[in-house]
Amino acid sequence: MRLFKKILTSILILLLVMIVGVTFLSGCGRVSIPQTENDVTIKFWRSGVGQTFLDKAVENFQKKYPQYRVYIDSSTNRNDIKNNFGQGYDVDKVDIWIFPVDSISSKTLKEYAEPLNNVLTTKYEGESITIGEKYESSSLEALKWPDNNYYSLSYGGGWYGIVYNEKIINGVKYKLPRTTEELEYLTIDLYHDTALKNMPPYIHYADGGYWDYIYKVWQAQYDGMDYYTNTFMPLNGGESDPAPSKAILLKEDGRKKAIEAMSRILKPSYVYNGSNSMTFTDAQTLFIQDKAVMMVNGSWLLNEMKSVSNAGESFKIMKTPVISSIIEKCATIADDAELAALIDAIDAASNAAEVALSGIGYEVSRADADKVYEARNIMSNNFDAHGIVIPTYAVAKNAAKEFVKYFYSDENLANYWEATQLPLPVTYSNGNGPDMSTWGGWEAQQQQFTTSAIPLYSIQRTSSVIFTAGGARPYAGVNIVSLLTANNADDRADSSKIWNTIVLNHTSKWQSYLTNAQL
Amino acid sequence: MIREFKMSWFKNLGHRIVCFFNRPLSETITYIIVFFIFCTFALSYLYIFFWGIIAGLKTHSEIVLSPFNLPKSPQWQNYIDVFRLLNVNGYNFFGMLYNSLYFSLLGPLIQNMISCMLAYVTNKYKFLGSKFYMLVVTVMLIMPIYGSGGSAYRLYYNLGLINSYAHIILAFGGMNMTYLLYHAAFSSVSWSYAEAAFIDGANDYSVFFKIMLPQVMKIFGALFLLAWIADWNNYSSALIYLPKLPTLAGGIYLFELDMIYHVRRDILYAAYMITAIPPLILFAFFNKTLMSNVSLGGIKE
Repeated sequence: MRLFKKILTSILILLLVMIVGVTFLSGCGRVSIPQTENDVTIKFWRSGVGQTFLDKAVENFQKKYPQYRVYIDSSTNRNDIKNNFGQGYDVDKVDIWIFPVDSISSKTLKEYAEPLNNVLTTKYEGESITIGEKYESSSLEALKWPDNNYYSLSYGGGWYGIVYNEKIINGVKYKLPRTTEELEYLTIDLYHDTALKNMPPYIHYADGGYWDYIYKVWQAQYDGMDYYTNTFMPLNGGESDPAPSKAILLKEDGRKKAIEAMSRILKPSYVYNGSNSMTFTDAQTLFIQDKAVMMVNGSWLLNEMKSVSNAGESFKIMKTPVISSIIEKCATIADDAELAALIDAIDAASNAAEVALSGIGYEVSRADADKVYEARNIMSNNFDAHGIVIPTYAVAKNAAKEFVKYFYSDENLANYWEATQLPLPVTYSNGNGPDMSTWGGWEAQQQQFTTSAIPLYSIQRTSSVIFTAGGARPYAGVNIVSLLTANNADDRADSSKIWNTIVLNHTSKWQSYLTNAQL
Repeated sequence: MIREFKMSWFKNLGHRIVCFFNRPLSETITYIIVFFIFCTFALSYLYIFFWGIIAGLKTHSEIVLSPFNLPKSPQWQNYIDVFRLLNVNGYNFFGMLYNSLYFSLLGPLIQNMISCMLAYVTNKYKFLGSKFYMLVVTVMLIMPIYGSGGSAYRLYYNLGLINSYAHIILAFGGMNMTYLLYHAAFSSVSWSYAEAAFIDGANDYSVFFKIMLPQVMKIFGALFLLAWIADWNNYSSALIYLPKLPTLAGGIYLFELDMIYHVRRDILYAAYMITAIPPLILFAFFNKTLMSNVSLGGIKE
């Protein structure tokens, strides 16, 4: 018996040593995906867009081009690209990054991303126009760098806006606000509505949620897109004050007006308790379960939340209200009421030229009408941030480009829209957008913005090196929303205090911006 | 036999109760108050587990909307779905469990054995450098070395130890606090044991494995368990050095990001509870070893 126990113990120890030994030795060689010219590795960021569209694209591409093999490595960590892209082939073995490109610096992107100009000038087999011609022109323009190269193309994303609960703001008791002043009154009315006692006007998630995509719009509305894109973002003070201009950075411009507008609509009591510390999915869950009336969000909201609720018909994105202080720059608009009347006329027109210069409640100049038309239609989006990027050092560069060309083929676009029902700033080769006959109201609205909105992109290609490499941010990294909605009065700040903090931060850090930007 | 055991248990309990109430009143009241304080404390810890188990039985919406309520309809399927959905870099729960056991059991075992042997040799045998080794370890522990993480990663990468089971080779250390603890332990073990063994014909290996090591086995056990628990819970090193070979700790961290994105907190909490089972089992079996005092003795001087 004792001998049997000894033998059994020895066998067990031997087995254990063998298992450990095999495991140890199996770790001596690195398991990896083949690295050949025909093996394409895609690193994909799993987000609200989902992965179904990509799985289908890969499956169909491999069927059509059997000489290529495609491997998808997906991740929810948006910093993967920052940690790997640009490190060279030794570290980064990815052939196509389908990832948020706003995670990496412009310098890195420009240095290590393969220009995709020849993809855009290609006509996919059997199609009548080039891939570049399928793109919506302002979107394509936004993807072009100052050196006329395209270092990334868009695979998705969406529009940002104030999402509202249609069951509450249904045009009967509450109407959609046209200006920020109307939004302020709406907020107050919602707050005082006893029927909405447990449903505050707003909810957001930690670090201000997506509110920055709204106050950025208000800034652009006030200053105009031309000033925003060609003066503010490049910090171009003109011949007398060449870029980077500190004066432009510190100037009281649309940023100050945007913060003032924010301070009128965001107060602690108007916001769902705990918003400043919530994750985005928790805030979204509460929002679509009717715990708040409005939330700044994007086109992907309902797609992202479909496992929780199929509430597609209850929510819409409103056109961003025009900042009321825009009338300071419009000589012929007397007050907010006249501004609202003009906005009604703008909403009824299909382009700026069609807007009548006078009507019920307003009479304005062409310049003012055009300015307000532009302001009314500006919408933030992140199509440019959701990028398809091929590293210059990728082994399967040519195969990767073939995949990207296939991605924009009519065949794959149809699969994309079937899988996601999300907007993409491209059309089929016949100029048409997706067939929305089976789409819900929410999805159709998002796609319609693609043709009607004036896009304000996440990444401004004209940005000064102070922003792209210097470490500066337009609002100096100040968390405006948290300061406005802090429950503790000591942590709260009003708009003038916030603006002063921004100016102080920029002033004190200006030298370090210059140093970081090697100026 | 069981009946006798139960009878003695009740007699014992009765005796304890009688003794308790035979104390002075102030002492009794103090003990009762302390008892309730500790009970509250213990219940607060138990509630965390209870809450986690209950959260795993809810839907995602229920967790967010009413985090402290009981589930309207228990979602037992969540605990089954964990095994289907918990998949990180191609490893499911059992794959990650294997990785956790491989790195957290083998690593501390090797580390403790190496440290123990080094401490024994440098403590009991006099040779050139035996005291110097102790000095080097002490200096290394005192000196703060910041910023070495990057160079260490580069070294491991070049040696092929990143994302590799061969990473376990790093456990062959011996220059750490464990070495100092064993060194101190062996200082209190008399050499007379060894002398007696040599007289009986034992060699150096027999003396170490059959006489000296058993003397420090309690410390070995406690240090091994502490290191096991630390390694089991260590997700940061696992994420840095073994992202493609996820352990349960590192895998759950990545899984959390995934489940938050996919709006499945219910699955996430169910996964937390399931992954808490192995250390709970370990604690249930070895809690006395972890918390008992260490005592040495055996020589009649």
